[in-house]
Amino acid sequence: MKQFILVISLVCSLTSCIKKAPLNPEADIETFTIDKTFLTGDVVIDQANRKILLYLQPEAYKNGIVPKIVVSNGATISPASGDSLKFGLPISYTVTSQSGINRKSYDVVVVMVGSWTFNFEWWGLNDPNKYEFPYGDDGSQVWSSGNPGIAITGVDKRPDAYPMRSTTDGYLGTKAAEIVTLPGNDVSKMIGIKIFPGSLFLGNFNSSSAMTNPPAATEFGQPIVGHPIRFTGYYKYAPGPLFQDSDGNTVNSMTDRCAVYAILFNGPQRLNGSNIQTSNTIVARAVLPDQSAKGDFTRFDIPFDYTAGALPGNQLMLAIVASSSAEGAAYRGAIGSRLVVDSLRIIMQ
Amino acid sequence: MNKIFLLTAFLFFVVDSINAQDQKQDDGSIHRVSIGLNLGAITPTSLPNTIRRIDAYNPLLCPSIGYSALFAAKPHWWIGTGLKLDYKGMWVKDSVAYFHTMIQGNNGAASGFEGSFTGTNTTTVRNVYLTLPLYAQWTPGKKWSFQLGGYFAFLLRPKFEGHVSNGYIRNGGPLGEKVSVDYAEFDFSNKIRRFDYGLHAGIEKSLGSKWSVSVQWQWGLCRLFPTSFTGVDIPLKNMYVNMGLSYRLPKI
Repeated sequence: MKQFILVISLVCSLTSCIKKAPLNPEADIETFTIDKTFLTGDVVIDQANRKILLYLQPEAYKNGIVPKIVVSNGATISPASGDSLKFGLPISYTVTSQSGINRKSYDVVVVMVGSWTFNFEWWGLNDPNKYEFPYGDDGSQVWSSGNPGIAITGVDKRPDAYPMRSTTDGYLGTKAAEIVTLPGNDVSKMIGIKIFPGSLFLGNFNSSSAMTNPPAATEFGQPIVGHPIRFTGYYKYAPGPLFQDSDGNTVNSMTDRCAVYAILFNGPQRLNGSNIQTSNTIVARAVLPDQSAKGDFTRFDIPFDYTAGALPGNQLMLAIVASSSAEGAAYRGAIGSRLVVDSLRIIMQ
Repeated sequence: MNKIFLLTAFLFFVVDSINAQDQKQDDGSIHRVSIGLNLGAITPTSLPNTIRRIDAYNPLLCPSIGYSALFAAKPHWWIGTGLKLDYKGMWVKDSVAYFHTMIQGNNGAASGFEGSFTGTNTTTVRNVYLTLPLYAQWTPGKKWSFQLGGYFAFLLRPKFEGHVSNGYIRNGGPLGEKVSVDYAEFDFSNKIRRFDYGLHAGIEKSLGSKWSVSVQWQWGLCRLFPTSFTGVDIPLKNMYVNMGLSYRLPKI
């Protein structure tokens, strides 16, 4: 009996000392809502870079907007949710956590794609993770990649530790986009990811689903005005030596392939890795037919194939996607596969 | 540090008594074999506020088997030691909030995940130790004995693994971006220290001339993980109660 009491008292002494809950240290803008009719594309909260990205109809830009904002539990925001925003001067929001200790600022950025020619000459560097991203030729930040997701797994903080980066091995000018399939690391293996397939795409990376549903984290598409007819560019490709399946087993009968395509679809909701091939919002496709090795830069010029019966609406969006492993979304590919793309263009009617 | 000093001082006292005892007599020893069960947890002495709830706990079946020897020191006093194979384990499911963790990759210190986790954690521990206790025993009458001393243990086989689920991590800390986690496995077995030491306290009741039952508390003073390991950022220690049954070996 005595022993029993001793054990019980031991267990109780461990469970009875749960301390008071800490005040919430988080300071996120969780949602930022504007009437959909004001948008050309859904609002993006870029949590990794602390930006609110807005894709606005010209009227909304001119007259301003009144967003509804939800922040972390217990946190406060300035300016407040429901205050009207006028564009022209820089705007930023500051969120203070419930704990009062933490403060986070989000810059509001109005994104407009002015030019659909991408020469990949200008690159930025993310801080603090040190991965690269390209700017559009008009200075807009419209490209993303899987790099932000790979940053979470804690790879080395240098550009060439990430699958997508700049290279001086370009076709025109001084730089191009290099996309490489890399081996996974210890942290990615905890969630069953054995390779990091390289990707570059027009759109955004949503970190929140990076581990639960990685294909959904790649949100494809930027608003486009006009009628695209051709997708052109230059590429070269070298598949890695050993193709492996999602469990990391070598599949000798397979050789890795690259993927380069453009998809036109009805927004403002973006497509993602799970529905980019199948969504019924798709209006037209331009898909690179030859996915095999190309030692030298090879030009492609692909007409958009409009889906019969699909009607282009007034919130059209366009996604360009390039990957060093065509089956990378399923974590199938060859470590070392390398795709370089340069001078991508969407030709309008 | 103070605890370690006291323990060391105590052990010196014990060893000194053994030496003194050797000169007096040499036939006052008792040898026993014992089996037992370890019940307890690997836990910090005080739970941090990032642990919000213990949802479920199972002590697991953690047997011990050992040999112990008692040497008479002076009337009513004995010096005890021995060797024991100890399983020390538990299964626990708990809810945590903003729990700091840093997981280093094996490929080099520069790579790894650092951040905070909010959600459910499930951990299974089952370590096997070879334990060497050293204690003074006071036997005022015929039935009851009381022990106080320390122990040193070598880790023979580690197991510390589990998974996190239904939650999210924040990259870098509370202000980093939120990443949902459905299920992620961890295995920190090879990060556990190869040794453990701590305090030993016990009560023993004699059931006649051969058999006795005991309750012994082993209070670990050594952190399960070295401070350089930050995957579990709290000072976990072995806190165990052993319930044992001993059989006195006949004199050879």
